[in-house]
Amino acid sequence: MVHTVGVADLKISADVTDILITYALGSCLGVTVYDFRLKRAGLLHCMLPDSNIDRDKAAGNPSLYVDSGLKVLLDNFYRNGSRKNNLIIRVAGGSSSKENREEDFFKIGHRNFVSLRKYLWDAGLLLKAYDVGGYGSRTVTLEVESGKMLVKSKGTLRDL
Amino acid sequence: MKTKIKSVLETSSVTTFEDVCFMYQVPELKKEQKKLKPDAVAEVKYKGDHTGRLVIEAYGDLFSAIAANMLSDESPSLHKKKDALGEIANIICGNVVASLGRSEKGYKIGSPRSLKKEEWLKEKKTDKPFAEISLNFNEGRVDIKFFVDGEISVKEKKIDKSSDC
Amino acid sequence: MALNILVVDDSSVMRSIIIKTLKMTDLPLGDIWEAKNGQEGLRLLHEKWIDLALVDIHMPVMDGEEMIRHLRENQQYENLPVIVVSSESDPNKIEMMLRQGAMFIHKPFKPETLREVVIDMTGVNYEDKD
Repeated sequence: MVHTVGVADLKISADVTDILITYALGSCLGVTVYDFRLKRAGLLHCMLPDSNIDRDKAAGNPSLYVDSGLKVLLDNFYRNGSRKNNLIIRVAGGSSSKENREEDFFKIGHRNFVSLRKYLWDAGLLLKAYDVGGYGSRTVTLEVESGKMLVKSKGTLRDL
Repeated sequence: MKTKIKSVLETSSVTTFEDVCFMYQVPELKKEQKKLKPDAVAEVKYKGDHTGRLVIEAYGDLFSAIAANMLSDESPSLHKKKDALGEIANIICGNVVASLGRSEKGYKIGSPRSLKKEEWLKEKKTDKPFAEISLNFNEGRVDIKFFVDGEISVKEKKIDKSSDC
Repeated sequence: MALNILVVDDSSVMRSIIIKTLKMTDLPLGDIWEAKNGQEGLRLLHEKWIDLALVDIHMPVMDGEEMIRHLRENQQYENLPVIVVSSESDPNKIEMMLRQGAMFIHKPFKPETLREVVIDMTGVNYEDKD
């Protein structure tokens, strides 16, 4: 079954017939976590870099922010028996909102990626692969059976 | 030349803060950030066809946050904080000196040194940086100043003349 | 086979960052030794079994260039894998280090870059997770 992950949303599945998909990743990040031993997959679609901006909002919907969303996602994996060494973490998105990056005043996409890397560094985790930045929208799919992550952007398909 | 150095100084500083300290620049300069006093100052000297130094001033909570982020340690010791600020100065300086032009033997970059408040205030009055930038982060502000001893354009002309011979 | 690694950098914070990154790579690590300059690094190489050295360039007492020159002149260490981790940006200097068989990581670096270069240099791959 195909599960769509909305904006500021996350889904986790251990059903090997499932595929997780998220559309329209602009400055947002699509972060995937995959446990290759347990065959569990998670996909987070987060919008903003730092939950300290509004802790109440983050408490209501942690998936809105990179740090709080990732915490919920990773905690779920650990609670279900995952070990750090078995996790594959990849990310796509973080585009600029302007074609000319210099005109992108708030650089949300860029900040999202820096915030993600800070969270991972503190958590003692490295990214396996990333497809971030540039200008344009991305679609991400993650297969639970294989852990295969595909990134579709401007008509091209990339196996991350 | 000044514009080029300033641009390299800015790019390498932003990248260093992003990649090593996991901090992103915030464009808005808050009123409080303008009023802050420097918490710590570090200096790195370089030597090659040109000589000079790079000085980094950390304002607000940035001095502590740099080491905290680099080490994932919420309360780093003063020694670690000074070391971290010095290493940032060292990295930025290494990236900027290459833009001063070709140097036969390359540039030697000295060990970073923490400047005492009185020392820095005294120098601040007399020296004018060749290029300087100011970056704002959620944690505070940093001013980075790049000094070149003597007249850089005169030296460049001299190099050109000798290479003509 | 566990890798014994020597990290040579005058900044203790940078040594910590490099060591933390190495521990996050899943590479089979043995002992990790630290040195503040090239001279200390050479002394540790004489005393310990080292499989890989990560060396900064700009250091007091003995810089990385001199340390690598000593290594390459000594038959015992001429083939030791060396990764230079430095903010050095002069293409001629970088080229010279590459000619001496070293690999180069430019500071500032992303930890993921360090992992890739260490894997490339040692040929020891971390557990294939695909």
